[in-house]
Amino acid sequence: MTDDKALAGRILAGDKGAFRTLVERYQRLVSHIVFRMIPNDTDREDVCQEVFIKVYENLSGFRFESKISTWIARIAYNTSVSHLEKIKAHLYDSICPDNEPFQELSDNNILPDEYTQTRDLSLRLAREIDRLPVLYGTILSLYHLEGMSYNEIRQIMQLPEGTVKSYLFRARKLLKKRLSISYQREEL
Amino acid sequence: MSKRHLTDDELQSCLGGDFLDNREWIETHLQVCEHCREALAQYQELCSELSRDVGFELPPEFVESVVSKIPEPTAAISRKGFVSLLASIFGLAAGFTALGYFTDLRPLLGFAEHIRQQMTSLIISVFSSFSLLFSALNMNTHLLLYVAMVLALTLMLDHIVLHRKRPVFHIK
Repeated sequence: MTDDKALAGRILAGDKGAFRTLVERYQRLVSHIVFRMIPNDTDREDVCQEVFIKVYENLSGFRFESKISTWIARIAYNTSVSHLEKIKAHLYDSICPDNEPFQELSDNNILPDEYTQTRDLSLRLAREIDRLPVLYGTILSLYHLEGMSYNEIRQIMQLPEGTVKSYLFRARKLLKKRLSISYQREEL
Repeated sequence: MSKRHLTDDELQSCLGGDFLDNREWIETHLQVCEHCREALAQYQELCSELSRDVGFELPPEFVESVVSKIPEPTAAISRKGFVSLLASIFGLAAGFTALGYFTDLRPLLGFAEHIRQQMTSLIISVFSSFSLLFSALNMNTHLLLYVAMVLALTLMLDHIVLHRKRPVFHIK
């Protein structure tokens, strides 16, 4: 936190090298959010750039009431949401209630051959995450890749903590179910 | 002891260590139930796979590309700005001197003197009203006046020195 504060101070004093350090430090975090949320390859880098420019523009207003990583992640999330709204993508599409049958979710648009082509579990998992609702994928990234707590994710996504936990549980449940279905298909 | 299997929430609660209220029962059940142990192992494998880096990588030139798009911050109080401020003051002084030399300013000066007198009497009356009020409240008027002046001066300094030192960013 102190290091980030010093870095922010140098950026505000006009030190571009310090800003370069900040981008290097947090580009992984930003890409984890943006790449999960933005489906289009060509837009992803533009959105990441937009995020860091917003960080630069608004840094003087940041009061260090939270971690800088949480603040940057929130900017990345909001920028991605705005982008999705622009391209009319639906953030909440197919967030299903607990009792919705998994069969429908697991079977759509997947050809059996694709499973045999993607034998590697990581690839198969990545594929399944891409098929999840955007919010689920984002929560999975923040929790598992970034090691963030429910509270930090709550701050970033502006969702109640209980909802964050519930979405995370549902996402993992869906993935487990879908992956076990794909295993069964391979065995057949 | 219930013979049911663990629910999905109960299994997942074991992953992050945030156990539900029935933690003891969950742990005991896991010791005896092969089915639930296997389900938990599947979740653990899934979580370890989810924690692996997925290779969302930005191109190596990304950092430079972002930095190049950042506008130069405007200088605090540059030497150039100081020179132009001095030039403006001198320019205004020269302009007023020329105006006074080439025109008859007496009517204008008379009007200005009238305004000054009016303002002075207004300020004095306001000040004496406040003096009365403060003395009624048993407060030292001069002390309060000094405090107000110090505050005003501090605000002015903050605005001129500190505020202007903060860089102003404009995105083209």
